[in-house]
Amino acid sequence: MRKIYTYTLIILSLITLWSTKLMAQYDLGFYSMRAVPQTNLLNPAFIPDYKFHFGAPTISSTYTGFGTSGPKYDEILMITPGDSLGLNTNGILNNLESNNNVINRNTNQWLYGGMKWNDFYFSASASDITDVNVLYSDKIIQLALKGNSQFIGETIDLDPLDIKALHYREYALGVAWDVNEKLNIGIKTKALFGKSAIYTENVDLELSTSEKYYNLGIKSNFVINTSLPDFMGDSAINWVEYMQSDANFGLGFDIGATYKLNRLWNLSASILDIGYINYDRYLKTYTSNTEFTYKGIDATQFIGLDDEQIEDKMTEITDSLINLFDITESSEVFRVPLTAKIYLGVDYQFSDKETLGVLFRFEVFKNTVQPSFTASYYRDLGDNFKVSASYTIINHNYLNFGLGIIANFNPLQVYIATDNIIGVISPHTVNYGNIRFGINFIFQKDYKKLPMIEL
Amino acid sequence: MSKSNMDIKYLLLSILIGIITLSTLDSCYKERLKIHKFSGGSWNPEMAVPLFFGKLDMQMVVDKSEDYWYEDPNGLLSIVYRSEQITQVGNNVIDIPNQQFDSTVSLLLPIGLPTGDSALYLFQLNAEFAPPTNERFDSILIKEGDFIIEISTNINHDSYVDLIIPDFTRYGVPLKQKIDLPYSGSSPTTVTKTISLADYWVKINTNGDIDNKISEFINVLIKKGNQADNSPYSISLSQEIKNITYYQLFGYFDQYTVDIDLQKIDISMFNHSAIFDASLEEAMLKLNFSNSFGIPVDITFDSLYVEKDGGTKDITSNLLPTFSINYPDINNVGYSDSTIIIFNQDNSNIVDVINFFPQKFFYSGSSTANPLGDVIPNFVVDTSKISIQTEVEIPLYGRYIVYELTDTTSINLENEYNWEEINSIDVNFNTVNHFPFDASMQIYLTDTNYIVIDSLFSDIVPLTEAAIPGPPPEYRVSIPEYYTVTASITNQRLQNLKYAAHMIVSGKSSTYDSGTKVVKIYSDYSIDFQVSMKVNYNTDF
Repeated sequence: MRKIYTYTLIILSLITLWSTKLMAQYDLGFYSMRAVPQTNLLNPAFIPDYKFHFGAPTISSTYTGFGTSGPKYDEILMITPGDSLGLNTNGILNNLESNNNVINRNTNQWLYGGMKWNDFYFSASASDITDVNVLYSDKIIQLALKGNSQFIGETIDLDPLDIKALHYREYALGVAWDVNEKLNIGIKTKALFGKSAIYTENVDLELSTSEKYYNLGIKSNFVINTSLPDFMGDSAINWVEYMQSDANFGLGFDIGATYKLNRLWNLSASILDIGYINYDRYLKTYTSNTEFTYKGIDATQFIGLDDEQIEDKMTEITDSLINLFDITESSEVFRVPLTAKIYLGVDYQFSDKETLGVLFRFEVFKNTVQPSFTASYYRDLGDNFKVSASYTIINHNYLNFGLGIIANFNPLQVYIATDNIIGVISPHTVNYGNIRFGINFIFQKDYKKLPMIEL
Repeated sequence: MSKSNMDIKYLLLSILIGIITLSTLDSCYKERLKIHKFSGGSWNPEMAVPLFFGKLDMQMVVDKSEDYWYEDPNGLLSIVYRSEQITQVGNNVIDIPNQQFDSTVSLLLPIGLPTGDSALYLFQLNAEFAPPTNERFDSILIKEGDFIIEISTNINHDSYVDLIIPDFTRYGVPLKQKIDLPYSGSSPTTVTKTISLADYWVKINTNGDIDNKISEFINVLIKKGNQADNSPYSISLSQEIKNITYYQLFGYFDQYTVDIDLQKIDISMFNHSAIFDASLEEAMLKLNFSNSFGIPVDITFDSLYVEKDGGTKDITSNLLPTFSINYPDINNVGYSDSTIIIFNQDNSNIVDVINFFPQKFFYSGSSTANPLGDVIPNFVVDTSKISIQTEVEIPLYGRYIVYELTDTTSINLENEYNWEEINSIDVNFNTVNHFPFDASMQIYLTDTNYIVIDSLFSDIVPLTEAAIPGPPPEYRVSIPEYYTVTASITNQRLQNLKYAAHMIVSGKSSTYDSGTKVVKIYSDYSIDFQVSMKVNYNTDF
């Protein structure tokens, strides 16, 4: 049996090491900080060891994270001799992979609470989430920064070029069941209300530049869906209306399970954010499906024209060039799938206060799986403090040392966690960085027996 | 210290550490990221783009050219320069003079004719029609003209005259005119009558009789009044035909001469003063005479020559100086007959004349009617004319070398572009040439004193190469010639544009193999051209 676990771990590790170099949104070390109720967000089968709890309104859990598999901040920008900041085109170009992504996720939990009832644990939360995923090829950046002459005689595929940028409100209700001494299962259902979105579908762009003639062959096939409220125009809405909007309804759910193999070993697994949001308000859809070769301007059409006629002809030609792209604007309802995540964890509790954990995480975006591996160490330093240290391998990046701190002052709990402490201290030097911070009010099972804090 | 107090201290300490940490991080981020100090950057792309393209085919040249073109059944093109001259029309050439007929008749009243009774008298007159010397008018269909009759008599009774001319008919009806001669109590009695002869056929010589006589019948009726009989009486008739124009005139009009005024044709294809070495293999001068006079005519050219820059060269031919042209016969009145006289390399020196590269062609002369003097039936209609259509046809068949053509344009580009931002430009000139001739070009930039400060190429370079013509006699090109030439311009040379005041475009061209081979230009020949550019650009933003 142990060999099976070992082999499984090795295979998952190899997948992580050899995976495509794309950055995933991650929240990895926090997975092991079970004393924080919000770990239930990562696996709905996790049951906090409290009778009930609730988060400090608006600050129960605030998360921000960024990442890029391409150039980092200090590779994109550089200090100029005048001590100002300038664009570093060479830095950008030298640090591009064939496929790159940029991610940013911000979660602000307005309300959060949970309670245990017999073998069940119920939780509820209301959060605002912004989730940005941009997938781009090195070719499109090379083209933008250095022009097309480097591709003369070639046909370059500008794919991938995918954008998923969402802002939505999430109302979640979760239930976890302590089935028996070994097994917990949990599910969380989410009602989602999209606030705004930019979402690309079927982006297929090709550019060819012929030898000598430099004829430009352009193939353009894309659908760009947007739901962007108007804050400026005649039908503008204000921020209050925006935040209170109940349009763009969606559904999602998380499922999870934990299994206690024996006194020392625990297994856990969860799948998060399975669902979608239907955007049906503030819609604009830009569609293009065209293929043409631009050979320049037909000079013969100017023969015999006077200056005024030439000017009119140039205007006509400019319009026709724009029309070549055949971009149509419409209002189409569109559905955006959530970015699904899979967590697979193994914990080894080698003492009452110490746990070693291994976590594999997979994120699915645009049919691309983005894996990561985390090893964590969790230590209970007493009633008031617990710490977690983690090491993560993600996207062939091996220098991700994380840290988490939990301070409990019954009933107040303050926690902070990051997967890359260097990213917190020096975000411009890393590809990835994140931080989660929050304040909860926790009430132990035997809360009534605990002394009150003397204020 | 109680556990609760310890908790509170740890709590406050934790929050304090958190706030300090976040504040420190925030200030550190601002300083380290320096996002507030973002000042832009440098953008240095190299773009390769097509600028413009086109296809010039001979059909387009033919359509847009002010010259005339002719395409033979094989598609070989010729440039044709044309002119047309028309001689005076019929009525202005053959004139009908006014005619005058005077005659007097006498008569006696029957003796004892009672008052109130009448007496009728019949007379026949032969009026003589007098054409110009050596001419004869047989019949005339009159367009306009007047017949004026003045009758004067000493008859002292009421009377009248009926004038009948059977040879004057309108729509088949002979001319008949009754003229009353009322007695007013005194003599003589004079009456004048004017008759329009419009649309009358006047037949003078008919049925083989050539006497220029017109028969007239005059009936005179006298009604006896109370006056005395003063017989014998006389009646004088004065008849005049005047201001005659005609639709048709038949007869014989003798010999007469009409001048053909000096006519000029511009030959624009040789107007360029470039040094020109060419040899045209064929040429043709075609004179198309259209004659609607029913008269034999000879044409005589006094002058037939070309001119170039003041110098002249005569066209010589065994057809010159005089030749006869056709005329319509009596069955084709109102129609014309044509005669085409062609001067080609077999009967003239026209090829030599064209290789003189003339800019103008001149001719003048005269036409002579009835040149042999034989009296044969002639006719003329009011629209009769002789038109001379002249065509100088030059097939595009030969070889040439244009050593240099230049065109100068004033430019001022100092403020047009930000030249400092362009590192270099490579311009490709791409051609696919179906024509069996090449073209070379150079562009010079000069200052205000026309001193060259730079040029597009290091030397005059080919823009396109000549396609290889096939074997004779068609010399047809079957495979086009692909050619690309690149002009590379550095930033330093671009700076010269700022100081350029004039742009001189200089071009050369020659037929295949440096102008040594004969070619033909067909209507389906074309040249595809395309200009593309690679520009290395550098800008700060």
